[in-house]
Amino acid sequence: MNESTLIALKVLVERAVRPVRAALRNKQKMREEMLAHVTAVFEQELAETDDEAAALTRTAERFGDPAELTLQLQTTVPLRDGFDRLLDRVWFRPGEPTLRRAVRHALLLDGLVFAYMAAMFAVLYGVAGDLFGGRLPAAAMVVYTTSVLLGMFFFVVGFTFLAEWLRQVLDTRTGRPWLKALLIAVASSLLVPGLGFALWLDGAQVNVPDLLVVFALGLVVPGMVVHLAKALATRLHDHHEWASLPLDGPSLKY
Amino acid sequence: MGMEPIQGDQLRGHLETMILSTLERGEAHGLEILRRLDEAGCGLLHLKEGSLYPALYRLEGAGNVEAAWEEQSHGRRGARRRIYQLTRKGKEHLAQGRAEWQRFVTVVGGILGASA
Repeated sequence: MNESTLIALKVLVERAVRPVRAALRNKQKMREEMLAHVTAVFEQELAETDDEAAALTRTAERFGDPAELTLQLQTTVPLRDGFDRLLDRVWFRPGEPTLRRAVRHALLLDGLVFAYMAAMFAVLYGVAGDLFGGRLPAAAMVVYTTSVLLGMFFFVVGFTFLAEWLRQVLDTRTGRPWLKALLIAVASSLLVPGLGFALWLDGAQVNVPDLLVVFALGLVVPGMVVHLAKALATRLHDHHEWASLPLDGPSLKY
Repeated sequence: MGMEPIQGDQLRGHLETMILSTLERGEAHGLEILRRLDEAGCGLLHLKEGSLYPALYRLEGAGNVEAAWEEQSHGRRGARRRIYQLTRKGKEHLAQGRAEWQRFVTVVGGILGASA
């Protein structure tokens, strides 16, 4: 099968799947499964006719009208898929610059952490009438909260950039990629200790158990960076493969 | 005189039970399910093949079938098939579908004077 035939088969599937309002993972499942189907049908038809164009036409006829199939597929999307779609929009926006994505994710996480801390302080204050037995004055609480939020912000931004660089290194595989990947892993392992050091310079009290936790977290971060880089690479690959298909060309008969 | 083919519209409401019935013979991917339907229908079922997948997804969502990706694609340029198999709930649903069909045929056949 040549590349143009494969693209024609993908277009047939994508005309049905792209308009479906569903989470990316769900749509990717539909795409891959139906592509496997139309490819097998095409191979059957080609074996009978030995004519690629005729086999393609027969495949489209057997598959059915994509617009009708879109409606049928839409009815299979469960309500809980709406939550996955929301997560898709938060986590993956194709074409978004890395800095913008990093800042957006950092602000979102800061917002969640701030809401959690505010709720925790409110509950503690409501139950005990003060915070930590009066040992945490309001000014110190503001400094503590701000330090945590700033630390998380820089962590998420750094983490996002390191994962993106690793993805690019593994994607292009030029100029000693494994050395670059190793450097990124080392840099990512220093992310948490680096932030801890910055907080220490800022006057935070650090003891030995805290240091052990900081270094343990530092060892976990490279694994997280690799995981994120791989997830990003898969998403981008899937997105480019299907989003670049020319759907506005002439349709096959159904 | 040969029998007229049965089009997809006439199958509405029965397709899912028929799919469950084909899976009673063992797990299968979409194309194999269609082949079994075609074989059991003596080639008279004319179904648009894309319509099989929404029906399979509904059955999967209802817990009547389970699906797993095949481990390797067999020469289909990277696209993998999903292999479907009947669940216990699906078997119960199939038995219920068969009983409903029997009742329908008995009642409507009796009215039309054309018992099965």
